[in-house]
Amino acid sequence: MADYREMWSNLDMDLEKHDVLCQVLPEVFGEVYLSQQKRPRGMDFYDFVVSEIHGVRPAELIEHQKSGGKVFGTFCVYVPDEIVFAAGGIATGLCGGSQFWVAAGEKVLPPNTCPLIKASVGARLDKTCPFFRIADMFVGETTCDGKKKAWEILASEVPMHVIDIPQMKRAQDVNAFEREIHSFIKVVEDFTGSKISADSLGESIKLINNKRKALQRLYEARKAAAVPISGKDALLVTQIAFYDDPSRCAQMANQLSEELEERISRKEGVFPEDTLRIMISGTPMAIPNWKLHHIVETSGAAVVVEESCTGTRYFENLVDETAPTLERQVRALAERYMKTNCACFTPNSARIDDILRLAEEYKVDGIIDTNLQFCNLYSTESHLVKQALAEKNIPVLHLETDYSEQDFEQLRTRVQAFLEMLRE
Amino acid sequence: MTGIGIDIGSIATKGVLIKDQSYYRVILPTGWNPRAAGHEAIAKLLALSGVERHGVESVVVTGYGRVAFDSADRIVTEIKCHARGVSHLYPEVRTIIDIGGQDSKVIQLGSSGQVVDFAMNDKCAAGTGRFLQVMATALGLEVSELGNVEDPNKLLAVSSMCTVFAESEIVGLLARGNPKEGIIAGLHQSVGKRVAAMARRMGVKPQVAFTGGVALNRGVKRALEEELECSVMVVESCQYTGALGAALLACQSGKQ
Amino acid sequence: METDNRFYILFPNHHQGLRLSQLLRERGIDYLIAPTPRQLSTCCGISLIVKGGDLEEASQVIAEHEIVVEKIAPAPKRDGDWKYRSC
Repeated sequence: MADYREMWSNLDMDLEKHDVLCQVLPEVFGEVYLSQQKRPRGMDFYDFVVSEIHGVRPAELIEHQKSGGKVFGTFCVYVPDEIVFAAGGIATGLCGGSQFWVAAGEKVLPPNTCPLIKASVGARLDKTCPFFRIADMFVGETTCDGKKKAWEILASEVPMHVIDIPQMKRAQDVNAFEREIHSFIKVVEDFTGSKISADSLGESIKLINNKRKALQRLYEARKAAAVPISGKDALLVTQIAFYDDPSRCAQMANQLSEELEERISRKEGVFPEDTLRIMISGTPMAIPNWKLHHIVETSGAAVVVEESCTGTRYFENLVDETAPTLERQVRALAERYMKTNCACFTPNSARIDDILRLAEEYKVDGIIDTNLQFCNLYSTESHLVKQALAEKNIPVLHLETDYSEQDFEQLRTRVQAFLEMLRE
Repeated sequence: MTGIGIDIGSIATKGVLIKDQSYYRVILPTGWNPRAAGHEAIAKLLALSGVERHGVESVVVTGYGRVAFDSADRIVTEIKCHARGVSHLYPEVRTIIDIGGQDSKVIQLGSSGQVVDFAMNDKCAAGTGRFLQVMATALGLEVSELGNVEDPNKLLAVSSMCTVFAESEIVGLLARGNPKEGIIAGLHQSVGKRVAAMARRMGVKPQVAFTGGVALNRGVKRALEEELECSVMVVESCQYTGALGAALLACQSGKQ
Repeated sequence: METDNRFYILFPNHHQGLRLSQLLRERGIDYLIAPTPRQLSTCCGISLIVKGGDLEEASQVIAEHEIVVEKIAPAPKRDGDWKYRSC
């Protein structure tokens, strides 16, 4: 048995508390994931990553640090990882998806804070996540009020840089974001002691684009009439993409896609033929939050696409690889990232266009628009989403939920009633 | 054509057996074992109707205990069953308000009685039977008494919708010597407000039917009518609507 | 894979586990990579699940290729239905 306890105690983790988390994961993963039928063989890698979730990748990051490299922890799809990798650093997603950390976060945060923020703060303060212990610098952003204030609390623990994300998408906002990326370059250069050049940035733009292309390819396979992969499995791939090595992520996702493409050519799906196709839109589902996908896929429907940060928002749109100078590369980055449509922008009608487009591309029968509890932005925007979908006669169900298991049965009733409506 | 519908709720399990044109029904407490309650309801229905188990073509199970039940021919949500049950009794109904032990729901029906849209309370107990149960205990009454004890002319506003806060609020109101009748009217208003807000979000189309165990409470009916500014009809045998819908679906699927 | 009659194969490190998974795959023996259940070991990390019917063949592969195995144990039984829980 792999024994990581020495590594964890060197990270000053609370081993006793952490052990409680380690106890639950195998059971839940077994029931939610390993009980699925006809899973692609390519999921082996992801099952392995989950099995060693706080072991193998943290050990790699520590090796990187031993050879003088820095690790940057991030919390948002607007943070340009390209900058970190161009300076020889590693960026790793830190978003907390475990209910286990929520109580720890509530010690310092108001109860009406979204579970993702509570879990992230709790994971750090309670010393129960190696990734939060390893990161040399946290990179926050200004996507919502809860996060903005949480950074101030985390800043007393770890060096923190906050990227100012614009709130609108006018030309001057794209310019402002471009300037933010320049400032971020300066911060990363100072922190790592290595200069970013047009060459190194060009390389890292390709590196991250390749990851995006691989994930795009995987999602393309989900458009097939006979869905070759469950929504749960696809979600796991995206969740792991946030903190895995980007080139390995691309390699594994491509390998998996190849298998899925073979399945498509044989018209071999993981669900019965007439299974309802569902899109989930809204807020991210950080690992190990699998609740809603589990409900949908154990109620006779398939999740075929996620319009979320742990979905299309993460990998749609590539950065222009042809920019010749550092200046132009930064411009290309700003332009790509500002194409992402999060509810933190106003207006955000392009997100509704995305949902309508994805509904057609993935031939969905209905949409579950969901937000994490207390996410005011997505919850408010759901009204406009519902309106736009009603106009197009696309059925939609809005759900607000957190990481806990308490509302599981109620959610199941709602989802099943929605599916009954779709079947009528 | 013989079909059984079982509605395993959080508090009570209801069963309806339909044999040709005859209807039989039973109700019993769910207790700690929803599966056993479901089986007991079936046994009681068979005894009551004199039908043999093999004479039943189909059993449809609904309610929160539906997932735990092990011998259903079909599992259907409460939402669809209530819609089916109500539209069978009253084809002109377009909006159903169902307040049960732990859920409150608003269901919008289309012209053929099909579910067009629905809303449900979140995991908190505000606006549900549980809320009234907790308040009845705090007032030293049975929950079934609340409707008859209230006096809307003495209504005292209870501002907290949250069960925990409302409980301490009424303890305070009682301590200050306020009459129970007025406090209870205020509690009914609080439930009415909460559920009406949910209904308005979806749009309220007449006729409005009120079902679920809480529909027995005429104070909540009054409050709903005031909040929605329209008449609300209490469904006959309102506790059984879900089970009736399930039994109708059972007969229907048996025919197919 | 069917859920009854499964066995867990535990390893001293993940390299052994991944090697065996490769070999089983080549032999066409069905397996799952899984986190080790707490009932079987207090350490985290990967195990392989194989069906009872494949256990003998899997054991042959282990012997032939000198895979270091910590133990092989039947999958822990769960009592009744599994109710969703968060982790």
